[in-house]
Amino acid sequence: MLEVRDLSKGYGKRRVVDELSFTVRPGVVTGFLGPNGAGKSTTMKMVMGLVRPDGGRVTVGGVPYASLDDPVRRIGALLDAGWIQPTVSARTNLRWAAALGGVPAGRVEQVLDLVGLAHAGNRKVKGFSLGMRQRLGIAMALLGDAPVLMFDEPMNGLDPEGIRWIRRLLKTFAAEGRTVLVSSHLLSELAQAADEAVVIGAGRLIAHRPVRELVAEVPRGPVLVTAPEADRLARLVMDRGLLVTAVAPGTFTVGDTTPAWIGELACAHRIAVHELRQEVGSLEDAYFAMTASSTEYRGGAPENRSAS
Amino acid sequence: MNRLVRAERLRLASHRSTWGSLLLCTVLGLGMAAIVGTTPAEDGPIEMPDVLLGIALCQTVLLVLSVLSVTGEYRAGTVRLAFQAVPRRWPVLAAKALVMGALSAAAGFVLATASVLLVRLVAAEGTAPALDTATWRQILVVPPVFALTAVIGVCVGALCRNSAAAVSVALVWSLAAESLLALVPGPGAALSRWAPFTVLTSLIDPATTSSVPGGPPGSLLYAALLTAALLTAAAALLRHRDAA
Repeated sequence: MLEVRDLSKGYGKRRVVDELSFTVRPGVVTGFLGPNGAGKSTTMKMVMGLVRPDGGRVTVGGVPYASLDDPVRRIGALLDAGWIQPTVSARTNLRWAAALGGVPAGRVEQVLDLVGLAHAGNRKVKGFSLGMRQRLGIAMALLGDAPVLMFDEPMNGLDPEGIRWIRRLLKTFAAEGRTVLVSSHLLSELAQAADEAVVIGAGRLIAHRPVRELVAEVPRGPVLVTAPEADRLARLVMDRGLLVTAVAPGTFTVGDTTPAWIGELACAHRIAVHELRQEVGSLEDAYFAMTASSTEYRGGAPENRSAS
Repeated sequence: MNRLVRAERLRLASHRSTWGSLLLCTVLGLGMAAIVGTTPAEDGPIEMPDVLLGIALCQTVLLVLSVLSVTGEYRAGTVRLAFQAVPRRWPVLAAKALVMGALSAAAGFVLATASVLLVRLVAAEGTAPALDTATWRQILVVPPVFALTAVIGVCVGALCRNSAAAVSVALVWSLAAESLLALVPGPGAALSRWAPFTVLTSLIDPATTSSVPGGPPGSLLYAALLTAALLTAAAALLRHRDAA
């Protein structure tokens, strides 16, 4: 369990995190969402004791980070995959971190295996691809076999295969009963991986809800229709006052309607339909609508409003 | 603390710059000793300070290595991983001071002893320093001087965090600033004889004079106290600053 209470941090006049509170439960993957500059990384750095909050507190399993007697075994974090010695091997980097955290050296081989880097353990990190670096960063986070795991933008720059791999990994961790917090600035990245979402904007909590609900609220897009007699069907639709946009010969889209309505209409006029589907609105659109409106109700000087 | 020292030793051993610096020290230290030993002495025997000429250069090399032991981790970002593992942070600095101090002391002892032996080997008969108590005293003052120099380097690294800035500060301080201080009219000259690197150098090279009383033990104690104060300041600042 990870608890953030009334957490605040400012740099100069800019408030990066503003009285933020949320609780991350064990057993589920919690997405930590917000546009770039919303304060996600700063919050995570405060969780790990790297940045000192101006106010509020963070507890890991009920204990503030600074008071954890064995932090590496309590919480594992990937905050920045670039925090690595490039001129030494992946294995040496991990052995160094293991020594620091009081983790037996044998665990190094386990985590290398777990992230699929066993074959590259002796290679210098500077020759690693972005994906391999992310895997190494995840290996670092897993060294302590901690019950709480936190990953900052772990999917950044990964190929689809890498993203699928991380999704599976996150779900496995949650299924093992761990507390998993994973940040992203893209809702679509986490829509399939996360069970819950903590959405922040400008350092403030916007929503903390099941991801399923967020996705369900995504506005529906236009209905795409492909039919041999497309022109006749399009005219019928237009006659009923709906907006039709031609996409290609034999294909058009209709706004503000449902596939069912178009289907009934076509059936009533005995028109064959080859394809009928509704584009799901972009998750990003829904998410931007949510985060944008939340920044609008915030008062104060302009420099308080946005954080970079 | 044990695990921090182990991690720091692992880090040091895995970096090529460590071995490069030690090799450079060997070449500089023994090279100078060989030159001094084979240069015909004009008037009588070869003095110990001349035998240890190369040692001053090694001191600078190890100072830079100590600075980089901290700033290198800031540049790579790994210092944040260390702070995550040890939220109190000061033990991270203490472990670095301990390991770099010990490494430098060991290197200093080996190099000073080897320099004397080399000079005895190559110098004309009767001109090399004898292996008597006076010579050993000169040799044995090198390890603590090197250890304190390394700890000062670690502190400078922790205070500056940036490699270029920290190396500049360390080099200018150790090589120039204290001698320049002596040129400041008024109290400059008197103050410079209390400055840490002047005091440390005076232990190896009597041509440099310090005003610290008590002979070599007094000078070492004084330099150790200054270094401890610097280390405390660096540790306090480390705790206070955000590490991101």
